[in-house]
Amino acid sequence: MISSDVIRGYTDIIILYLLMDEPGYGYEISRKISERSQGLYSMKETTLYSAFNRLEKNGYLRSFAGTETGGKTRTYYELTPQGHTHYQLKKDEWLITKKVVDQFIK
Amino acid sequence: MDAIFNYLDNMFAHLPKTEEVKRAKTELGQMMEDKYNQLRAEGRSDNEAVGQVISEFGNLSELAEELGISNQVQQASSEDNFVYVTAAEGETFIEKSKKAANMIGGGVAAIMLGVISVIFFSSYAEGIFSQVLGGDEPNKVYLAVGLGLLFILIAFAVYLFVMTGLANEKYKIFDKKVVKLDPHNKMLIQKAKENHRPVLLRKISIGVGQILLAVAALTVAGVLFEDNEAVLVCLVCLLLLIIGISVWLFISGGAIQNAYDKLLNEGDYTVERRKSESVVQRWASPYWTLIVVVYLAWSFITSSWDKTWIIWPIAGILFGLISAIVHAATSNKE
Repeated sequence: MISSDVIRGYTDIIILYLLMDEPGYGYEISRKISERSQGLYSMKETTLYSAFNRLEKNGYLRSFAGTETGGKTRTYYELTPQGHTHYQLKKDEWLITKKVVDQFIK
Repeated sequence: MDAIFNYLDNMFAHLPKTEEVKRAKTELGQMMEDKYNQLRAEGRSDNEAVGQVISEFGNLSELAEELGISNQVQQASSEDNFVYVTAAEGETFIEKSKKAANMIGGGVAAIMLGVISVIFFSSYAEGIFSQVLGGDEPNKVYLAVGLGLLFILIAFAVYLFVMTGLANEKYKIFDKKVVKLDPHNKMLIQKAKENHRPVLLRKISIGVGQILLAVAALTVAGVLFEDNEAVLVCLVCLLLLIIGISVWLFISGGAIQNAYDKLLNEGDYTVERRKSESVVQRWASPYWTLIVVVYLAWSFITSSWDKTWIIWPIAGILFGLISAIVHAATSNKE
C-alpha cells in the first residue's frame, strides 16, 4: 500500500498522462489509474477531484460538459498546451528524483 | 444507491453553498455513481458496492484548501460541535427512545383517561344516567370519585414523564450536537429508518383514521340521540379515549423517527436546524411561562373559564409561526 504522502507530488503526472491523448471524465481516470497500477494504487475520489480542480486553476486542464453514447452528461477534462509543457517538466523532475533516490537503494 | 447520495449530502451539509462547492459535490457524486454502477455490473451486491464506494471516497479536508473552505471544514470537524456514536451506542439509543416514546405516549393516554373519568363521573353526579339506569339520584360524591381518578392518573403520568426524562438525560446531547457515525454504521441506521417508515405511516394513518371515524360517529349520534344526554356523554368519552390512543400512536411513531433523525442529522436535526433549534429553545420556556400567567390571570379576573381556553390554540399557532421564522432566518444566514 502506497502512503498518500509519498505519491502526492505525482498525482499531477498520473492524471496528465492519462489525459494526454484524449479527454476523459472522473471515474474513467480513476479506473485507469487502478488498472495501470495493477491495483497497487487507487486514487480516492477527493484526491482526484482536488487534483482536477488545481490543474484546471493552473491552466493545465480545461473542462467541458460532454455526453457519452449512453446519454449521460459528465464533466470531461482535456489537456491544454500548458498542460503538455507541465507534464514534460514534471517528467524531467521525476527522472532526476528517481535517479537520486535510486542511489540510496540497495 | 440512495445511501451514497445521502452520505455525500451529509458530508457537504455544513459547507457554504458556493458555486465551487456545488460543482465539487456534483462531480464527486458523478464519480461515485459511476463507480457504484461499475461494481454492480461486476456482480457486487448493493450493500457491498455502497460500502466500497464510501470507504474509498477519501477525506473532504483534502479538498478544503482548493475550495477555499478550510475554515468551515476545520470548524465542523472540531470536537466541540460533534459527538461520536458507536454502533452499540446508536442501537441502545434507538431502543431507549422506543421505550421512552411508549412511556410518554402512555402518560398522555393516562391523562386522557383522567379527563374521561371526570366527564363521566360528573355527568353521573348530575344524574344524567339515572334516566337510563334508573335508581341513583344526583349525588355530588361521584364528582369527587372522578376528580380523584383524574389526580391519580395525572400523578401516574407525571411519574412516567419524570422517569423517562431521567433515564434519557444523557442523550440530551444529541439534541444539540451533530452526530458522527462511521459510514457502515450510518448505512445500517439508514436502513433501519427506512424500515420504520411504513410503521410510522401506519401509526399516523390509523391514528388519524380512527379520530375522523369517531368524530363522524359522534356527529351522526348527536343528531340521532339529540335528547339522550347519557348516550352523548358516553360517545364523548369514547371519542376522547380514541384521541388518547391516537396521540399514543403519534408520539411513539414520531419519537422513534426523531431518534433516527438525531443519529443521522436529518429532518429537524440537520446542522442548521440544530443551531436555530437552540435559539428557539432559549425563548420557549419564558414564552410558555408568560402564556400560563396570562391564562391564569385572565381566567381568575374575568371568571370566564369557558372562553379563556382560546389562548392555548392561539399561543400554539403563534409559537409555530415564530419557530418557522427563526428557522428561516437562521438558514438564510448560512
